[in-house]
Amino acid sequence: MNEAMIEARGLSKSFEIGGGFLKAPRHLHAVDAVDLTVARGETFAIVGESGCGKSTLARLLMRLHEPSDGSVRVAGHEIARISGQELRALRRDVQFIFQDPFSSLNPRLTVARLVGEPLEAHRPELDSAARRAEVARLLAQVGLRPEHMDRYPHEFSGGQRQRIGIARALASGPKLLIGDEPVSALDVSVQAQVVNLLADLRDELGLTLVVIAHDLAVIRQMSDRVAVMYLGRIVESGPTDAIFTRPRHPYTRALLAAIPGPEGGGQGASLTGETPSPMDPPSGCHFRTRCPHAAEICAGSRPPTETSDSGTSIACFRWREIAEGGDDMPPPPARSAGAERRFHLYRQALAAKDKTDKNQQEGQQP
Amino acid sequence: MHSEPILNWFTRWGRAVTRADELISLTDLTIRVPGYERPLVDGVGLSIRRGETLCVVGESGCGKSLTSLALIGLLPPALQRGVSGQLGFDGDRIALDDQRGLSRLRGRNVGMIFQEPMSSLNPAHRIGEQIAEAWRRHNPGDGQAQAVEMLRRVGIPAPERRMRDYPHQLSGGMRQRVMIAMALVNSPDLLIADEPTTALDVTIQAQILELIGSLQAGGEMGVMLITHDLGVVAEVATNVAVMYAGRVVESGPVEAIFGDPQHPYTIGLMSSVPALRGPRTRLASVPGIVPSIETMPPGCRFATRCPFAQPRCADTPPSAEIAPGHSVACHFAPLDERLAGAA
Repeated sequence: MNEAMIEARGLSKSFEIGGGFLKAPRHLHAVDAVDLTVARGETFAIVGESGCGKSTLARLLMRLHEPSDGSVRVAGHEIARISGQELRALRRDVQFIFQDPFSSLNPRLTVARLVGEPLEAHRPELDSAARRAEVARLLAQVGLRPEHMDRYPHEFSGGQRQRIGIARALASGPKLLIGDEPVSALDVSVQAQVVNLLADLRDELGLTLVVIAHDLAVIRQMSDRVAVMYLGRIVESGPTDAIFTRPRHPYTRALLAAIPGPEGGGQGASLTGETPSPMDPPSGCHFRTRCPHAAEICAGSRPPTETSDSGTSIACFRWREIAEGGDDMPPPPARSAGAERRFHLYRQALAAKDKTDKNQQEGQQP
Repeated sequence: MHSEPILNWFTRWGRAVTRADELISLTDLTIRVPGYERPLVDGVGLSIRRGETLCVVGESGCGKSLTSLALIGLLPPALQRGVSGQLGFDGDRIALDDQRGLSRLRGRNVGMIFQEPMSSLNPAHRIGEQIAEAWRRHNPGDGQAQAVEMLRRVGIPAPERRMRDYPHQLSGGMRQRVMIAMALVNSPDLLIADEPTTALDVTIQAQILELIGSLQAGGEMGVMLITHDLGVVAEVATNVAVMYAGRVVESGPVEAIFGDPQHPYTIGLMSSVPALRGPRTRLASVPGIVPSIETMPPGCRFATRCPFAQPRCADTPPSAEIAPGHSVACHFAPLDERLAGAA
């Protein structure tokens, strides 16, 4: 196996909250001794509810936050101690895609400037004509047209803006893209376009993707491996298919069960209560206050991470007992024949339309 | 459109609707904007019976929120001037440009919940007081007892003490519960919930959906739930109306919409949602973007993105009832027969 793209060991980040003269600050443990490994060329997803620390973790991976403890190695380099030239190289190799395409693009800059800016920083050798050509190439890569170059962000829809954000991230020629909820602000039909685009780019450019999201269906669609976070800790991680068909941690099971719809758990609210404050998490296993299987042992110490036969790692004292009683997720409900036929027709028509559109374009540009 | 009552329709929310008493019927809602040829919302018709949940589903800009606001006369003034259409409410008929008539309906007969509870609650007042105020608007008494009772019903622990909390002291899920308490304190006939769970985490969303269902169960209240999430629709809807670019393109009982989707937009929308189980395949998306009011095509508004589009789509498709209660606004419905014939 070749070298990992990201290797984090015991990675922690705590923030000081409040405090002042004669008053000690309180600590918020956003990320609490997390271990993770992301292989080259894979898509690794981090999933969890708000406040679980997934965004902080993502920012630690590219040193937008300084870790309080632990280490992160990106492509073999320890990033906690680098500076100058090496930090520049890290900024070139690791790029970020933001959630909100409405607030992450400067409204006063044209698309050519927005996408050209990182080129100026990371490829100063290009003159302005070469830079424009490069911008045009990047826009084509994300499915936009060269004539979009001289427009401003407000002239684009949400999906197109997210494409601009992706083109901007690709400009420096990164090896690793980190997306913090990259599609959650988009409408469903546009979301599917961007999910497909990211998959294509990963394959074409050999990128490694780290995707943070709260939408489990999107995660399943995009990722090879998943880590589930709860209150700053990874509670379960492993291959995507294993996590979705044989979830073992009670929290993972509850998350899947809570998804509405015919495909979801369909079990409605399986969890009572809300996530406790990260300022004051429960002792031992953080999840025990909401866990239907909680026992005395869970309050004592942090549960160790153990590996199951399906290749997932689970941080739970009682997962073996729970696994015996619980079964796998049931197979998906069958779609009606009518719906199935209709979906098939739609795909066919879509493919045919794609083809004629392409032929027309080629006809226009001999 | 609603030709015959659907008897014995079992909802996922646990109530059998045996009577066809219509609560709301909206006909031909149109919202025009001065200076634009094509209306923003075009000829929308909906109906809700007592005890039923109608889910209005569509993407941003499809007019689903405007439709609900027009129903209660809360459109922004610039749009209110361009409204036409009729509302039947529990036997009464009201023209949608009759502000006074609509404002009488609000509050007492209609409760509302919005997506972001923090911006709908007054941050400077205690939550108990806000619920009691909603009670006092339409009833005698100070409403304190009713507020405590409502907080208990929406599952807020220690309601007497919580009455004195300010909105910022509550979590997002708790705030949404307070909003629901406020919306329901006057026992409205109709609850309009506009993306009530979109800002919430999935485990909290499940709790809120269950709560709305349990408050409705066994009662006479109709619910109009506006959402973009097909999973939520499948979970809670009795009937569904799919909207695209200001029109209802398909509507019918929830089983018909999921089991026999007919409009190309409905099919595209469903194909765009990644699956939670089964094989993982590349998503079939809907190409292109939603037209804006400036670029709205004549005829079928979905034609610019539709893979089945043909020249005749430049004419507006009529809404055809292809099965009892199941209507589709597409020239090619029912789809397989017509397309098989064309190929």
